[in-house]
Amino acid sequence: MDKEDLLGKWKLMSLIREFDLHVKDFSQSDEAFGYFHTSIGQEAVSVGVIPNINENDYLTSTYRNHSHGIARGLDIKRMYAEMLGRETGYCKGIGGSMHIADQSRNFIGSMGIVAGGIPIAVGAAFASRYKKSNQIAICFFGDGAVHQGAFHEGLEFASKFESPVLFICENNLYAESTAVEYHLIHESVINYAQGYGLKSAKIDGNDLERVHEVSQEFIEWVRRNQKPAFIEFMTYKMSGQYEGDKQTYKPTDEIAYWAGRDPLVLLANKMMIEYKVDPNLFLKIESENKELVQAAFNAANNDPYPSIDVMRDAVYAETL
Amino acid sequence: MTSRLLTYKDAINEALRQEMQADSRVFLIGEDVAGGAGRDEFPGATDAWGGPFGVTKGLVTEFGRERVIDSLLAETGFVGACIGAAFAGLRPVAEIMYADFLGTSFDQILNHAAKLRFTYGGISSIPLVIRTVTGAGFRAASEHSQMLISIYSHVPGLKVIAPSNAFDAKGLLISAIRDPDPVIFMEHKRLYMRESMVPEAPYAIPIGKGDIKRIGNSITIVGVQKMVNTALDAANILEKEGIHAEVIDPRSYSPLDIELICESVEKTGFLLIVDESHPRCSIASDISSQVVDRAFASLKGPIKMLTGLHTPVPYSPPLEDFFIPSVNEVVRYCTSMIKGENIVNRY
Ligand SMILES: Cc1ncc(C[n+]2csc(CCOP(=O)(O)OP(=O)(O)O)c2C)c(N)n1
Ligand SMILES: [Mg+2]
Repeated sequence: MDKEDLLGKWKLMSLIREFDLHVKDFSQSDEAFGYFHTSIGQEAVSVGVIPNINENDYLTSTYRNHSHGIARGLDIKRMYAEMLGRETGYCKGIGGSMHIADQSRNFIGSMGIVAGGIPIAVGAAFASRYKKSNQIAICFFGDGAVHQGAFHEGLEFASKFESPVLFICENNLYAESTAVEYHLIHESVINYAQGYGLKSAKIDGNDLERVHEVSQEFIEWVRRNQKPAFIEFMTYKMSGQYEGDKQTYKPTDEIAYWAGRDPLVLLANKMMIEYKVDPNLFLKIESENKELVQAAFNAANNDPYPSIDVMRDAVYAETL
Repeated sequence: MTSRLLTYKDAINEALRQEMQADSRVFLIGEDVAGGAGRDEFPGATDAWGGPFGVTKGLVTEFGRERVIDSLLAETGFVGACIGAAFAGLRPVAEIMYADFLGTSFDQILNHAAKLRFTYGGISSIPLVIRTVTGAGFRAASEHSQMLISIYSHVPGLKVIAPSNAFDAKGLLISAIRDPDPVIFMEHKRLYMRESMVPEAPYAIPIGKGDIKRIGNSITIVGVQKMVNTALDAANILEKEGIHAEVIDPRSYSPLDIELICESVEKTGFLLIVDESHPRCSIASDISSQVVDRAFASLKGPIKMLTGLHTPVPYSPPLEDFFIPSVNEVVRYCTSMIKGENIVNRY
């Protein structure tokens, strides 16, 4: 990637960061409702991976979906509208923050049930192979998901039925308040992937360039070979499980260590040194993004709520 | 017995603590029930999560990590293991964070917890409690808001409890832990902060006994869990209109105290069942059919069900508010029923 490419990626990461920071603030206000899960600190994974897939490839995410949505090119105003329960939201306000997805673009869903999306992404990949459509699926989940039956059975299905799916585990060191050093039996979750015979890698998820390179290679490999593969990205959930989490379970030295490994800071530093980028440029991008997010929020906040019929009509494809 | 105001959440915490003090076979397991207890140094131990709603807060400091166990994120595994542990003589209390997640361990509950005694000739006992969290109104959308009481009540071999206040919660949880059979204990997330008078000493409320929460003779309202409170609020309004509603809280849904409901209907002649769950194959439809079967002759008008819709629970506030039966609707249903007016079902 050249300087302009990197700047573009930084800009996208910054948009995600500003979006989540806005959500974080909003979540503490009196008007807020619902559960909000941000990806602060994990932006490099979404921005490094998602732009590498094709427009018609399939995607599944989780309740921690804001970064995946923005990296997929979703409109932040419609995302906010969804979080505010408005009819203009991606799911007409029915899904909310935990379930933002744009099915019209093969973003199948953001599952609130841990690992729920894994077999579904596998099935979409299976269908692509069946249809010989050359599409693939990518499937995001956390370190906690590897304990679920849906994870294991999904990986096994993909392996057995050679489904072109790329599994992306965002290992952010915690499943809620439970640390990976306690909950993971193996040092790395790719042990499981290897057990099912998948090509796999464990990568620094805060190094945008590395994420981009490896995921690009894996995505091409999956498409070419029509087989599943697996990447574990090591990252850190800087803002805790949900907005409002006091995070007393985190050791202070760990918080400090990861503050120094903030993916936006890492990339900005690199660009300032290697490409002599003016530090003020980052500040400028940041404040532009802040404005974009605020404008998106303001616009969404004026949109109407859905009618009861919207909900009734959403239940079955066929009108009863 | 000294009593004091206690929240639903603290009453549950107290029941767990007292039963753990009394019986060393009782242990808790579930995701984050201690909260970060896995690490050797256990940072933040004194302020650890105690589950996402803080219901088990403080128990790990009193009983240690051997008895308050942060499970892995694997419900089939730990619920199944609790069944085996119960067979082997322990008294496990498992926590499934939201009732919606029971699905991931459903086979262990449906085919094993419920049948391990029956299939092998009625010899063993599976003294297991699965605590879980029900209910809409939290803007938590379709995967974190379901009731599902009816699904579990459908399965022979399971007992199902869903208390509506702190007093019942404590007494029924103590009974559940002492019970020889598997019990699904459902806690409504929107009741956690609600207070009522709760005795300090341990006490047991028998499973399968309903409770008349308000005496009246004009109409019987059966509320399901949080809807008991909705019904009570409505009853206060109805009182001003000269309608004396009797409000019944079944408290247990399997076994169900149908006699108590029928006795009330024999007195009032009208029955409204208020349940925030979906209408089909529900607790409301079950109670309705049983009352028709047993007390048809006493009915002065059709039984009505005021329930949620035949849709999953939506996120958007006006939609979710519409989904959940309201006090005003209960009032409207009751007045229309007594006047013999036709009511168009909302679902
Ligand atoms: C089957 C199931 N069990 C429990 C939960 C409650 N829960 C929500 S998020 C979470 C932790 C998930 O951790 P991880 O997979 O590492 O993802 P992260 O939140 O760190 O991104 C848990 C236990 C759930 N949503 N689904
Ligand atoms: Mg995690």
